[in-house]
Amino acid sequence: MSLIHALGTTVRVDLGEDIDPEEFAGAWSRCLGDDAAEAENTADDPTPVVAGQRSMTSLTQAITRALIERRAGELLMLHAGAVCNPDTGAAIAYVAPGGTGKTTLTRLLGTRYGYLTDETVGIEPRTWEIKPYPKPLSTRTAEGGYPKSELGPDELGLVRAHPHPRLTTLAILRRTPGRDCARISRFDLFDAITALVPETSSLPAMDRPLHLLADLHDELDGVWLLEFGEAEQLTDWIDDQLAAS
Amino acid sequence: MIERGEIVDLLVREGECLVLTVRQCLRLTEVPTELLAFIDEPRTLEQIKAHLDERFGPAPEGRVEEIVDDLISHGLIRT
Repeated sequence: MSLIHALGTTVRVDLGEDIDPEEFAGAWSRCLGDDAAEAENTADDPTPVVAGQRSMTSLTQAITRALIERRAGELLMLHAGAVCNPDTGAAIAYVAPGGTGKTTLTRLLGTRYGYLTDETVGIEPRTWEIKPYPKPLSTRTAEGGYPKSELGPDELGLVRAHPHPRLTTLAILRRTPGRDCARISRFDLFDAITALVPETSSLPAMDRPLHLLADLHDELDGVWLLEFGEAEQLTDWIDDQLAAS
Repeated sequence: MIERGEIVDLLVREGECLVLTVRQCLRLTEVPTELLAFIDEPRTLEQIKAHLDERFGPAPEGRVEEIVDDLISHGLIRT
């Protein structure tokens, strides 16, 4: 039994017979507990167990669901990638549906900024501290089809995060293949919330969730819309954001 | 009587609002926002009409019923 620590909580994982323990350990290196004794000591606690998965991809999805379920009503959870300045903890989260550029942008930024997640950003209400979920990153086939493997952030050489990352910039990604330059603008409050709500998990379980999003919008002085073609078009702007925070 | 449906949260800014249910987030213009704010307790259709008349002036025939039906269809209010 392995313990996965992420989103400020813990789940236990039973690898079963189909998952290679070494591959799992490499992919989940930044979320694993220190020793097996820790897992044994929690045998009578309510920590959920994720088990019975046939592939690394399905195991990752099951772990994500278990973590989200465990933090429902406690964290504001966005379908987003995130990185932080490893020295200051200033973090950017970029919200987007699956398959629209989060992982690609994360792999690009993560060579210079601390890797927080490529899928689910968990944010403490009002302090806006991010609870990292440095999961393995799915790589896709050349045709953009089904993920063929899960590679850990250490295997990809991604930078380690600041111990207390705090959300300072929030953006929504809108990728249009073939677009030749980025266009960056700011949402008004209602447009921002309307765009964010579909990309949240368990939002209705939060206390006054629309007011929470409004507070976040005000705290960050707005939510950005990043329209782009290729991830490289965004790096200069993100450099400015994380340097200025 | 007309009362609010299963609304998770209601955010009002400058007369308009966003309303969140377990299924969706909707943006409402000024009149339906005022209607929703008014039925913080169950009201009759006549009470609602009188309130909106006082707030915005007389509405065209059938307009308030249309708004009520629309809000019911989205689960924001119920009879």
